[in-house]
Amino acid sequence: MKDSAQASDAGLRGSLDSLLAIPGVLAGMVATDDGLPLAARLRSELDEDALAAAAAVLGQLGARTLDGMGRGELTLVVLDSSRFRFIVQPLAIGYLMVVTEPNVEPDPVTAEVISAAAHLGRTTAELAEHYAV
Amino acid sequence: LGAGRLRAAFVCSDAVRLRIVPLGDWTLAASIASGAPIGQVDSTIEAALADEPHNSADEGDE
Repeated sequence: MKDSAQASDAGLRGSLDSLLAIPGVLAGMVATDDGLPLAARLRSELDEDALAAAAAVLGQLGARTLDGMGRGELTLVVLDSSRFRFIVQPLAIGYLMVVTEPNVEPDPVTAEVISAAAHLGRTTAELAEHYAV
Repeated sequence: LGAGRLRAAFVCSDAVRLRIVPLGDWTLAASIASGAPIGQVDSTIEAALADEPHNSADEGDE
């Protein structure tokens, strides 16, 4: 059981490393629903704990907004600020947060984030199963 | 986070994309069909806002 958790952990880090290889991506992290960092790769001065908390808040706010409107399940939140672009995608046990430079073309990066989240979804589901036992 | 000024937010589901843009005392919320490219939606909204004379009116309150 410990081996599968370690493999899942390595899977998380590998996916985050792939995201950081994309030009303009400054940080990638997986945060729990409670806003705690599970795995992170940061290239900028961003604070890991603050980023994890922001990922959970943005994800929950997006989900609540859509729930209130009855317009489907949350797939993605993008927050544009003058210094960064934050992309948040829900996962099995929390959220994937990717931070890019503000003027990076959004659609190619978003496509990569969605693809990484699909992979991370499987990995985090394994982790969730492991920690539920 | 030291992220600077909020420019806009996108909330996406399998059914809809919501674009939320703060405009001083006002907030623009646009609902767009799911699947529209984010970059294209962005540039369309920015072009529409640039043509809107009220957009630049009350920015002194911030």
